[in-house]
Amino acid sequence: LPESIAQTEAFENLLAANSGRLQHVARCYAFGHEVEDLLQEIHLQLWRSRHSFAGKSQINTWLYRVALNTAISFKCRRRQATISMEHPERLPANSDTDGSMHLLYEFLQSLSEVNRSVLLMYLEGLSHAEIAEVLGSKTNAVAVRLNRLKRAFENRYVEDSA
Amino acid sequence: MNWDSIQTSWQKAGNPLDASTIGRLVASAEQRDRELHQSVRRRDRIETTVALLIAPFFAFFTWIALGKSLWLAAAASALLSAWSLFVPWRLRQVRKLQPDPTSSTDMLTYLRAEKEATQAQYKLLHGILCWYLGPAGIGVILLFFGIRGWSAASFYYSLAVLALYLIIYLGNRRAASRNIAPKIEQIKCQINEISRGEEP
Repeated sequence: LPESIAQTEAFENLLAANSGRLQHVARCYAFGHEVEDLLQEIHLQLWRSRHSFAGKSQINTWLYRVALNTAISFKCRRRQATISMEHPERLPANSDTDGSMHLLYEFLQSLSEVNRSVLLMYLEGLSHAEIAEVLGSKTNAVAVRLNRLKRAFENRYVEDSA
Repeated sequence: MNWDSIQTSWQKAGNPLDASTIGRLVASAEQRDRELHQSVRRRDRIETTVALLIAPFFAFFTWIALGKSLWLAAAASALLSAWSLFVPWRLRQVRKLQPDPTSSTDMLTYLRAEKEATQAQYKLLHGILCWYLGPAGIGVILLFFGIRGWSAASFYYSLAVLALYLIIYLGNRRAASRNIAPKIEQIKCQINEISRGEEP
């Protein structure tokens, strides 16, 4: 059917444009072989909710609402692996940002689900208003939370930041 | 730290997928969606079929028992007939509460719906005596007494049923407390965290 083909093509384009974001969500909420399972679950839920996607202006909030709600439910159902945080590696204050990516993952995985969502969406470039819309929270509250998260990261991983 | 460059590096780190992988992912999502839909329909069909088979059986037995003036057996089989229709209805009501991530609602609303659904599951398991074991146990014991009369066999049968139901009851209460109650607490914490909008 032409309509279903068009829908499939539109969905393929959507996945192609956002595959990096979705992989980040999956890696932040699952561990090891479960990353692939969560990614598939997110794809399934996005596919099932494709009719509710109303237009380009809402793509960020729509995508993250579906992906994060799926990730949180997924995490609730599975046992969480734990990460040792006893001796975190530290970065020099003028560190190359590329070197801090794995520490960011480690930091994200040590956070609560809500804080993880906030920092993840910030890193993906969503505005405070968009993050608040995904969470169902207030823009000011998101700004305060983000500042505290940034400080927490710097205190934990960056030398001479305390 | 320069968070703008961290943002840029983070966004570059996501690996874009090639067209064939995207096609495979979409095909897999389509296939899983179809399977999920089919399995939900199959489960609903089985539950309805079992209820529609058992309920008329006990209803017919009620009619027979009434004809033979077996009042206790008639009352017990009427209870079992009503119970066999009530159980799938009750299960479906609780299942309907489960939030659907595809509704793309905000996280706070989603978590509130999930809390409600999880609490309903907790009540379902915790209160299994009232809606499942109680009516079924009373029904089968009274039915046996109604047919066999007050005999030693009826007594031992009742004891066996009660022992079995006690095990099921304790198992369900344990599952509710160990598996579902912590989940409810976890969801409550998440809701509070968003509602407060405070410290990380």
